[in-house]
Amino acid sequence: MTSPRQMIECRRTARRLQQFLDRDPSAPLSDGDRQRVQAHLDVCARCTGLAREYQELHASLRDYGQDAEPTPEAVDRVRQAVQRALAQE
Amino acid sequence: MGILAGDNGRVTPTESGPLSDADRRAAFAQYVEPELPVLLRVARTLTSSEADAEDLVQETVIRAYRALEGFDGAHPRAWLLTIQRHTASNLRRRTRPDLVDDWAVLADPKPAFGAHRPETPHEAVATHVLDDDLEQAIDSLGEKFRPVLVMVDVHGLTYAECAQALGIPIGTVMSRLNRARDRLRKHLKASGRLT
Repeated sequence: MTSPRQMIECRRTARRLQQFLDRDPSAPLSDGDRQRVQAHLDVCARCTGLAREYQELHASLRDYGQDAEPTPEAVDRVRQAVQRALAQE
Repeated sequence: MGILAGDNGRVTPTESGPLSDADRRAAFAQYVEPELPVLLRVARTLTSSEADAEDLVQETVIRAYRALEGFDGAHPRAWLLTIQRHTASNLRRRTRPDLVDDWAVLADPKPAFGAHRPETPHEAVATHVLDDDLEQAIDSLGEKFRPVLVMVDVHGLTYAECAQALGIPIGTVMSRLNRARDRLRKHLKASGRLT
């Protein structure tokens, strides 16, 4: 049985979970928030499972991104087209 | 504020004045060329084909070259993504024939932005050998959420770079990203892709 207090903490963690996992330099969590999320993940199996799902999703998207990397030929075509255009100026 | 090539071959900010050809080329090589793959990846999310993405990046890079005097040397990726966003907006207008009022354009037409060029076999493989289920799930996010998710999670942009590329606040990037991921997570969980 989940206590009301734990439910509040789960909701609070859910709001910050992606920011916590991303560690994006544009929007870092405060040290206090980071510690609080980590402390909750240490004791809550449900939120830990949610974090794991986001991490799996992130890994899938990262792999997808490697497949979608522009080809060297595409980069080279752009470079050459730009050089041709600039040479005419 | 402009940029100037130093003795060490690096280009550094300077107060003012036009750039020499050598400085301009050095600045271009230092700030613009390394970002070509990122610009292409982002362009692919803003356009409907590989050919359009390449056209967009070409136009972006040419504009950047011409605008180097006004660039202060800081955050080249953000600077280029902003130029790319404005360029994409301008190129979209080019597809509207009623806006063509320049006879030189008509005399020497460029392919319309949106007119597809056939992909090479290599590109066709690179584009289509992807996880169909994941690709469909990403597509289903729609135009509001898909670009944010693709730019940040697929192409590795920071929230700030994504905000710059789309012209929206960082907070909006974060909220759209959260919702996009949540929808994707639920979709993949329902299809057994997440354990």
